[in-house]
Amino acid sequence: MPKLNELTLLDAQAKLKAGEITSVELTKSCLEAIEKIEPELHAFVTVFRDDAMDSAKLADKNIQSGVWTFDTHPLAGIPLALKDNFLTKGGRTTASSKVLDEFISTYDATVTEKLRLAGAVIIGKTNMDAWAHGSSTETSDYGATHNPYDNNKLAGGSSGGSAAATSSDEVVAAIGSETAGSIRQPASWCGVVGMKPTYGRVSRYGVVAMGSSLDSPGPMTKTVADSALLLSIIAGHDPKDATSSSLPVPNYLEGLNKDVKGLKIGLPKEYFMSSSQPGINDLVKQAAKKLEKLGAILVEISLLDPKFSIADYTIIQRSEVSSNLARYTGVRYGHDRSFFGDEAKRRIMLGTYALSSGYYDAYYKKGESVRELLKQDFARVFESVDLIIAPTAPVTAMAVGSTAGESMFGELADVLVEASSLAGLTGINIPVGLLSGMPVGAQLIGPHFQEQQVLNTAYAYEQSTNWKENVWPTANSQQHTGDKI
Amino acid sequence: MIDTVSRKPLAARYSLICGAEIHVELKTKSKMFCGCKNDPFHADKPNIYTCPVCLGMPGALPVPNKQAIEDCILIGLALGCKIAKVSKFDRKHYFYPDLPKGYQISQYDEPFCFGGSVDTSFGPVRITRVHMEEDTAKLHHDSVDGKRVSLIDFNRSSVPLVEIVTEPDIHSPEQAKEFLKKVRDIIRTLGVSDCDMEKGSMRLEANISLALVGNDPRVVPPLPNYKVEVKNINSFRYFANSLTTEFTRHSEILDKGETPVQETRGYRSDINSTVSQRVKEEAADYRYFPDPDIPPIVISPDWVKAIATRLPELPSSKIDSLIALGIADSAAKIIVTNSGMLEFITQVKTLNPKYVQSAAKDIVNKKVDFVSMTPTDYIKSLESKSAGKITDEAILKPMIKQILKDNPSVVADYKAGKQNALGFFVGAVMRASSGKADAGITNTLLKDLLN
Amino acid sequence: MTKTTLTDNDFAKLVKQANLVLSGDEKSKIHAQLDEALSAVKVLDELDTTKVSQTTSASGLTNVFRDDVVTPSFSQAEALQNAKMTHNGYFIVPAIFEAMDN
Repeated sequence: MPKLNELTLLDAQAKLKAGEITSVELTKSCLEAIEKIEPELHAFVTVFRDDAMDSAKLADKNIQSGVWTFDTHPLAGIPLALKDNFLTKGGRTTASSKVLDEFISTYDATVTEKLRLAGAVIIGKTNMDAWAHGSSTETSDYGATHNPYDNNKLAGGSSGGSAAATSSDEVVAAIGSETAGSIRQPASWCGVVGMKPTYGRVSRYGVVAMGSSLDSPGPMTKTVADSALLLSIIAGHDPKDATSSSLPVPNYLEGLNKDVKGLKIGLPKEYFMSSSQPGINDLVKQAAKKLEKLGAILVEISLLDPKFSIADYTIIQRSEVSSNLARYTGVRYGHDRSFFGDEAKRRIMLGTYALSSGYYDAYYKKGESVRELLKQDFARVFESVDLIIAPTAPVTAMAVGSTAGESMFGELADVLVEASSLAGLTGINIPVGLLSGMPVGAQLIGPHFQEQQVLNTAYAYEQSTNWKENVWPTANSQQHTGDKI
Repeated sequence: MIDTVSRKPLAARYSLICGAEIHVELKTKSKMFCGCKNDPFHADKPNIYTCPVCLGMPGALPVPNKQAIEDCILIGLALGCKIAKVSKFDRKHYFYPDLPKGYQISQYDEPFCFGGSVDTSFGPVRITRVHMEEDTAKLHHDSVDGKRVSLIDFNRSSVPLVEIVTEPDIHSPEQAKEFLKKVRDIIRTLGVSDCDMEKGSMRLEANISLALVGNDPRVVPPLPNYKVEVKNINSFRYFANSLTTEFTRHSEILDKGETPVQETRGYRSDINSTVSQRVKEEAADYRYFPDPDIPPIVISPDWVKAIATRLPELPSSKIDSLIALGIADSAAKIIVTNSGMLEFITQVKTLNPKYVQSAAKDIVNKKVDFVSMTPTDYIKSLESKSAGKITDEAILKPMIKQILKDNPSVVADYKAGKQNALGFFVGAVMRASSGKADAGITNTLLKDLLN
Repeated sequence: MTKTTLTDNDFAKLVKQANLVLSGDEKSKIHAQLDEALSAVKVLDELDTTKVSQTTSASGLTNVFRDDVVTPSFSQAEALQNAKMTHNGYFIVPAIFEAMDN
C-alpha cells in the first residue's frame, strides 16, 4: 500500500469510508511529508498544523459516530491545500505578498466555506506568484516554489504551490486559480491534472482579485476523477458573486465516462509552434492520436495567432489589476504600497496607463474589442469541433532564477492559454509524458460550461494509458491508476 | 438680480449661469452593494455596520441592491427623465482614505436616467442625468496623542447615493431656492429619502459662472470658458447666498478683464462668502471603466412601467386636491410635504369626509399627534366630544321652558331686542344639562319657544 | 495606438496617479519596462476591430441583483482587527488637510 499521503482523493475517501484509515493518520502522513519536503520545495506559505490536526480529529469523531457520511460530507477528513489567495477565516492569507504578510482573514471565501462544509481538512496555504502575477512563483515575496521532479527547476505559476504540493504528495489535492494559465501551466510543469472551469462556474467571492473578468478558481489533483469530484463540490451559483452562473452543477464524477467515439477534436496549427521546446508538440500529437484510437476524430483547425492574445491579455489583465490593487493602502489592513514587489508595480503602472484619459480608447477599449474577436474565433471553431487539444506550455519547467526580472515573462509563458481564458472557456491540463525527465502537459479546451465533456475526454486518455509505459508518472514515481471507484 | 442679503441690485451686465449637483442618500434597509444596515446617522458606534464588501477587503465583491436602483429610476421618472434601456456601473478611481477600494462604484456614460426637466416660475431647469453610486466613509478630524489625525467610520461606506445633475439653467438665487425645494419635496413625496440637509441625506454643490448679457435679453449668453465649483453648502438659503456672493466676486474679476480661476471653493456661512479649497488645474482623471464584477442592467419597458406605478401624485396637484376638500391653502401646503400627515387626512376623508377640515386644522396646529393616533380614534374623539349630547327635544323642551319661566326679566330683554339674552339662556341650558345639551338644537328650540 | 515610450514627465505623472512611490533606480528600470510592454502590445493595431463592439460582460449575464434585506455585519472588533492603528473604534490616518467635506 502506498504511503497515506500518496493516495488519490477517491482512494482516500474509500479507505476512510471503510474505516481502513483515519483522518488523523492521513493528515499526519501529509504533515510529515510537508516537513520532509518543504525545505527544498517551498510549496507552502502557511501550514495550519494545529488547526489541521484538530479538524482531522473532529472528522474522525464525526465519521465514526455516523454524524458525517460521505454523502453529506464527501471530503470528510481529507487534507487539502488552498492557494494563498483564498481567504480562510482565522488564518493568514497573503497572496504571497509582503503587503499582506500579517493579514488574518476575517471571513471565508465561498470556496473555502464549501470545502469546510464538505468536511475537508484545510492543511495550509500554498505559495504563488505575488498577487498571482506570474507563471513561475518567482515573483512570490516568500521565495520561489521548486519543481518536485527537479529541485533546480520551477513549479510554474501562479498556482505553483498547489501544483507542487499535489504532485509531491504533500497533500491529497489542492485548489488553485487561473486568470490565464495559472492552473493549467503549473499543472503541466508539475505533471498533475489542473482544471480551469468556465469563468463564472466557481465563485470568486473571497479570492484576492487579480483580473475580475478572468479569475477562475479550480481543482489541482492527481487524477481526473479527483478533479471531477472536487469541481462538483466547489462549483455553483453564489449570491455574493454577481458574475457566478446559475446553471445547475452536474455530478461530474457520476457523469464521468470514457466514451469519445465520434468526438471531434481540433488541433490548432498556430498552437503547435515551431518556437516551442522540441518534443512538446510531438508528445501532444501522440496524445491526440491515442484519443483517435479510442474513437475521436482529429481535425486540423486554425485559430487567431496567439501573439494577439498575449497583447490583449496584457492590457486587459493589467488594467483590472491596477484597479483591484488600489484598495491596498495599509489603512484598514496590511502594509502600505511601498511593500509591493517589482512585478506588482510594473503591472499597476501599465494598467493605470491603459485606463487613463486619452489612452483608454487605444488600449483598454481596443483590448475589449479584440477580446470579442477572440470569443468569436472560438465560437466559429466550436461549430465544427467539440474540443480543442494543444500543448499547455511552450516549454517544460524552467530553471530557478531564469524568469526573475523578465518584465513580461508571465504573459509570454502563457501564450497558449491566454486566448481561451479571455474567452472565458474551460480547459484542463493532463500530463502526457516526460521530456528529459520533466513533465509535459496537453490541454483540452472546451466551450462554455462543457466541463463534463472536457473531463470525460481527459478521463478517456488517462484510463487508456498503461502505467508500465510510464506516461503518467508522478514525482515519486508512483503510478496513479485514477480509476473511478 | 438682487443680492438676497443686502436687497441691493447687482451688476446688470452679467448673467448668472448655475448648475446644481444634488446627492440624495436613499433610505433603503441595506447598503448599495452589500447587506449591511443602511443607518449611518443613527449608529451609536463607528464601524458597526461593515462587512468585507463595504470595507473593501481582499476578495470582496459587490452585488447591487435592486430596491435602490428602482428608487433611482423612480426619482428620474418624477423629474421627467427618460430611462436608459441598458445601463451599467463603472469604477471611478481616486485615492482617499474614505474610499476603501481606491475606486467608487458609480456610473459614467450610461446613467439610469437622463434628459429630464423641472419647472420653476422662472423657467424650466433641465436635468442632465440621475445616476446611482455608493457613498464614501465618514472622515472627521481629531487630535490623538498630540498629533492631528483623521478618524474614519465606514458605517456610511457604500450607502446608496443618487446623484442629480442639472444643466446650467439656474439664473438667480430665487430660482435656485424654488428649484431645490421642489426637488426635495418631490423626493420626499416618493418616500425614498428624507432629504435632510442636517443629517446629510441631501447634499448640494453648485457650479457657477457668469456671462455677458447682450443688449437683447432674449439672446441666450454664450457659455463662458470657466466654471467654479462651490461645496460645503448646508442649506438652500446658503446655496442662494453663495450664488449672490459668487456673482459679486466674479463680476469684480471680470470687470478687470480677468477670468475667475477654475477651482473648487467652500461656502463659509460665517462670512457669507466662499473660500478657495484647491485649484482644479485639469479635470481629475478617474480612469473610468465598466465594473467587471457587476453584469450590465437591461431596463425593459415593463420594468419601468412597474416602477412608475409607485409614482404618487406630485405635490402641486396634491395641494389642489386638498383645497378642493375645503382645507385652507396654507394648511394644504404644509400637509403635502409630510406623507404621514397626508395619509392621515386621506384616511379621515375615507372614514368620514365631514371631519377632514377639522383634521387638517388640528394637524397643522399640532392639536393632534397624527403619528400615534389613528384616524379612526381621532374621529371617535371628535364624535365623543359631541357624544352624550342631549339631542332629544322631549328632554330639552321642558328644561328650556322651565328656564324661561324662571327668568321672566331676561325673556322681556330678548323681546325688547337684546340678542345676547339668547346667550344667557343657552348658558343656562348648558348648566342645567351639565354641558350635555346639544348647542345647535338648543338654539333652535329657544328661538321657537321665545317667539 | 499612440506611444510606445513615455516622457519622464508623463512617467512621473503616472507614478503619482498610481499612488506608488518609486526609488530613483526603480524609476528608470520600471520606465524602461513600461516602454517595453507598450511596444509589445502595439501588435493589436494589426487587427481590425471596427466591426466589433467591446465585450459587454465576461459572464454573459445581465440584471443580477440582491434584495433589500439586512444581513449580519462584522462586529466592530472584527472590522478593526487587521488595522495597525485604530482609536476608539475608528480607523486612523494622519490628518488630511484638504478636507473634502461630504
